[in-house]
Amino acid sequence: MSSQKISDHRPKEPEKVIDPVCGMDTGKLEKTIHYVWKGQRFSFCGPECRERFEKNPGRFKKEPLIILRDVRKIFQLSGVETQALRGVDLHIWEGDFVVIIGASGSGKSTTLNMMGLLDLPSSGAIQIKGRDTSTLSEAELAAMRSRAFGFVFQQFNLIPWLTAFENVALPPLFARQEVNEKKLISLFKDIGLEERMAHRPKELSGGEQQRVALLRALANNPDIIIADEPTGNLDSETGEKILKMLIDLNQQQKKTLIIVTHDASIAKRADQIITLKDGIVVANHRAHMAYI
Amino acid sequence: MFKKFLILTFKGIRYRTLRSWLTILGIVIGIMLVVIIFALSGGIQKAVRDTLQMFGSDLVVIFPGKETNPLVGFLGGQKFREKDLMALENIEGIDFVIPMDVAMMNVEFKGEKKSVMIHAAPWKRYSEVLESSQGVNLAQGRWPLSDQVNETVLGYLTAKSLFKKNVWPGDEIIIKSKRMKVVGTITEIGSQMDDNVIFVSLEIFRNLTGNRGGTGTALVKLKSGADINLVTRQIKFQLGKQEVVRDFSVLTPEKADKLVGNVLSIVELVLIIIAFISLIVGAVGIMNTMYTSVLERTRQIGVMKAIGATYDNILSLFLIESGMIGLFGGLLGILLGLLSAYGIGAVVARMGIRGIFSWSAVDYYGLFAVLLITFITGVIAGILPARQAAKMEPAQALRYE
Repeated sequence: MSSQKISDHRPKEPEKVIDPVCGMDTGKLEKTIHYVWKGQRFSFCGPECRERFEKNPGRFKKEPLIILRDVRKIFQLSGVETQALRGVDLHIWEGDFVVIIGASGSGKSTTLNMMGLLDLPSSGAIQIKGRDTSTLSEAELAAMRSRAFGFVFQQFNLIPWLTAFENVALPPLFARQEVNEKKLISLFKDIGLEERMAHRPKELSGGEQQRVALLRALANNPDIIIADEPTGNLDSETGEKILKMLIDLNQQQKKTLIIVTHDASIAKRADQIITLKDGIVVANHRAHMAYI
Repeated sequence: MFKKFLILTFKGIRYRTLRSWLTILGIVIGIMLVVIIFALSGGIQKAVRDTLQMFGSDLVVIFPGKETNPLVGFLGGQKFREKDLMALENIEGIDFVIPMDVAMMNVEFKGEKKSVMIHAAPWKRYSEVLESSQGVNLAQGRWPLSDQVNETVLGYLTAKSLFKKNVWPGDEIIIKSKRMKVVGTITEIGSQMDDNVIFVSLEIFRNLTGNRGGTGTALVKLKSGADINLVTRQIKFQLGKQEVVRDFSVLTPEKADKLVGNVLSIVELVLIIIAFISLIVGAVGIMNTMYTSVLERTRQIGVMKAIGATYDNILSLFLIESGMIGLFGGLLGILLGLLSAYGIGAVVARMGIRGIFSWSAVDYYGLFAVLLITFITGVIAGILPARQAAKMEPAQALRYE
């Protein structure tokens, strides 16, 4: 695993020892767990990653769905440089429910944006489904966003001048696919919004808007759902409903679900919890809830 | 795909109703003005040409003043000496010369007074030219028997609608306190100016004005087969020797047509410049609106990019929008322009000048070109804002508040 060195050109640094499950650089950690399996030596960030590995070593010998390798992001805010990400190493596995937590300003949304190709790293490498994204053109990035990812935002972010139905029909349009109206209508029926299809976003409640946004995220049938605080603008009951819909997608349709949240109760249900602090991953398992 | 984008854009434009309309208005005003003027200039040109066709092809008109500015000579009131004009009859190729004059005079019929254009010429030859060269015939009655009798012939409209009651041959009218007997009326010529006239003999005219020797203009009738250009040169040479009227013009029908064409093409050139400027102003308006709207929709651009919109998608959305604003502006400008031209035509017709505007004279290909130009202007004005929108990074756009 340590041979997976991408775009690391700093001289004289010891070889990275990557946790095969969560992708963290264990060389940066104070404590690591060493483990030998079938004669091969592995380093884990903690007991949780080791346990996951032990349960199904074959799964983690394959290539992760998303790899972030020493990803850094520097923002220029009115001339002042701000380091939003200071070397993030991560693995996301296909079919997992992943939660990214951290205080505000910790870089969790930036990390999510990197994974969803909404933003490009200042340095470091991102690999999605085996493709190094730094080699992709603008059009290829757009195509990947459109087909591989479905996005759900805290602010719902529906296009205000389009009806609910038209909002959901946008992703196929941009992906140059024929809009299957029957399929979209049946999706609306499934979530009980078929009578609100012709309404504009401002005529819908927050929960309705987020359900429409969820449909929009699913319109191109992506493998990965990315949600940035999807329940942040909803009351707890409605939020719980949306969350259940998201988790159902993960459990029933085996979609990889990545959620950024403040909410510890959401985190408890996840397969993997990534905790960020000051732009780096400080923990990658359940034990470090203290950082939320 | 394009159709869906069109619908998408249309909804966006409708969502920002007021601003969209104001931007469209910026284009509308310029285009409307241009359409009005072009629609009417065609009519004016047609009206003037119709009048010019009155001159037969074997006639040459002589009048005081430079050719390039005929009105000054007319209004300046310069007069030729009649004998200088009559001497032109010696030129080979000239059949005869008719000295003529015109003036506005007060005319009274059954107590009703009107101001009418009086045309004066010696009867015998003038009636001959009217009938043979200009296709103007008597509708009723006869021509006056001689230049000395107080008899007159009325234009079609003068007899029919100038006064409350129709004037018939045998009726008496008073021109400048002189009683005249109407002996005939002529057929309709078709232009307001030419039909609202009264014909009298030059002799009577001079009695009325008190001006004895002078003649305002002259009509020269050529012999058949004469070379019109040669005769024109000879007239210029011979008339150049007299010193009463320094600048004078010898106008052949061909030249008159060219002259009108020149004046109108200058007017059209000025209009094209105005149109161009107004279009630029409109384009700046569109650009301004598009920049505002890109800024305003930054978040939505971010969303669209997140759900898979490419650079080209966003670029086309904004270009279609600005093009559509241009196109709407053009369409509305043309409609309002045509309606206004129609209105102006109707008002002017009530004032007596008909045929300034007609639907059949509208240059529909020209209007199509205007539409195309406004669309292209819109697209061009949208290029920079659209590129700004298309280049946005999705995450950055999504953060925009």
